[in-house]
Amino acid sequence: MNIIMKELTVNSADNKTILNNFNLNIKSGEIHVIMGPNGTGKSTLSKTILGSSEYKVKKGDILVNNTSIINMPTDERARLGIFLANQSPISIEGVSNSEFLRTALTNITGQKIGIYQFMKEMNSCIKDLEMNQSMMHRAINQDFSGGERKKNEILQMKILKPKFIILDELDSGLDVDSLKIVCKNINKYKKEHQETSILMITHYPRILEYINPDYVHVMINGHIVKSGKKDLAFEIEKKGYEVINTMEEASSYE
Amino acid sequence: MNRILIDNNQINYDGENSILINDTKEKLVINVNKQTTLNIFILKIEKTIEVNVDSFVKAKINVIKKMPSNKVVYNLNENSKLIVNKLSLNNSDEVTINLNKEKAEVTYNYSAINYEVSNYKIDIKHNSRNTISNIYNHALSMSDKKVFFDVNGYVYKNSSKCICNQDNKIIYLNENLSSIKPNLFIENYDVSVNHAAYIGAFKRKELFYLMSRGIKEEDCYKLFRKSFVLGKMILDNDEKKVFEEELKNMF
Repeated sequence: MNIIMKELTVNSADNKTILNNFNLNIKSGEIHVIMGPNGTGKSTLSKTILGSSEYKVKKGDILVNNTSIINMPTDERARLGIFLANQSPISIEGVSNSEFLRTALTNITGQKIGIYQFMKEMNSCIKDLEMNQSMMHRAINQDFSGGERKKNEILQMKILKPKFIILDELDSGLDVDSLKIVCKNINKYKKEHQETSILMITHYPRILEYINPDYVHVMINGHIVKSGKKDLAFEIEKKGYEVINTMEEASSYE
Repeated sequence: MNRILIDNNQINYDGENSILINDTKEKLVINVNKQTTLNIFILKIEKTIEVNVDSFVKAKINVIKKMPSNKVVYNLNENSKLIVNKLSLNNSDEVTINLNKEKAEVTYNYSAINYEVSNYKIDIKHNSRNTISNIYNHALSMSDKKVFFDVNGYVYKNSSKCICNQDNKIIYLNENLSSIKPNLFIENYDVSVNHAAYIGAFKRKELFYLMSRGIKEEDCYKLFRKSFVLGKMILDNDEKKVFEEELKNMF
């Protein structure tokens, strides 16, 4: 899936500009990483792509395979194949994981999914992620640990089979072993769905030891100020974001 | 399995001898004397229903009610444990739960779908020490008509070591003047009590989460409604199916 974010300017509900003339072009099959200090607009970007009503797009466009999605409601965007693995997945009392995912699959495919086929697939994905089988009957993220919530996001990804995946701080709240398991599943998915594009938002390059990106971008004050390869992430970890000021002008990744 | 169908004040009972029914002009008395599950379907009744749970008896009562307002009294004796799952439509019941003897325990899961103005009152009376009540009242207000909850927990002077919890929620689809009075009248220091009340719409963040997985808005609301109404109830698979089917007919 090709994603183009063009001159995107986005305000919060209290009219504060968060994304400021943001540009990014993600080609089919590419993995991009965005790093940046706290409060620079990384999570706003991920929610804006999914059309959250928390934010208002003041200017610019988001194109998916050359079609604008800017006026589409969230569910339509998701049905196109856009998926957000949330930084802090919420819990929803009373709605079971299995019922929720079966409803989502029915909405996405337009077909009623047979219970046997669905359970078989869900069981297999739960096993891949080394989760407890009982979680499928539990309410969404209710009484889940931080790590279980993150795994649950990836479980949903595996079942819903998106074409563009946004991973918002996937590594926060995951211990080393769980991070390995989750990344193994993402890599396997990517191998099986090579056209799938990924946008990873992270503070730490640790995750890049497991998922190999094509590009790394640094975002400051609502737009990208520097782009490079994987090395850029490790340099920032070593020297901090101050290092950007001492680097050459923002280089193009295209 | 015990089943009582009440229609037009007529009682139709199908079940075992764990239940004794005494139907008089003034009230319908149901005596539960053995461990059991009782399903009650109420289409029309005007008189008071009284449920007595014998000492050391565990009982579960599932109630589906489709007609407005009558009085219901539950009397729990020593060491009895009662779970009530009640689903009702346009209901204005007046409920009293008497925890009469030591170690009596009630879990009361009440969910209502309201299209009309509704006044629901429940009194939970801890008449003895070491008694426990967990009360969950949920109402889904489907119109601009007001829903009113009057929820009163009483712990009397000699009723030490009681646990008295109440959790009340009204969700409206159209903003209205619904209200909750979550009252606790506590005369003893050695007790544990909690109360909570929430009135509002379904949460936008939860809607966004479900929609971000491709679920259409109307289907999200179906999931929310079902989880809100049935989420707290303690039902086995067969019972759940019955409640789900009844719920569908209420929308």
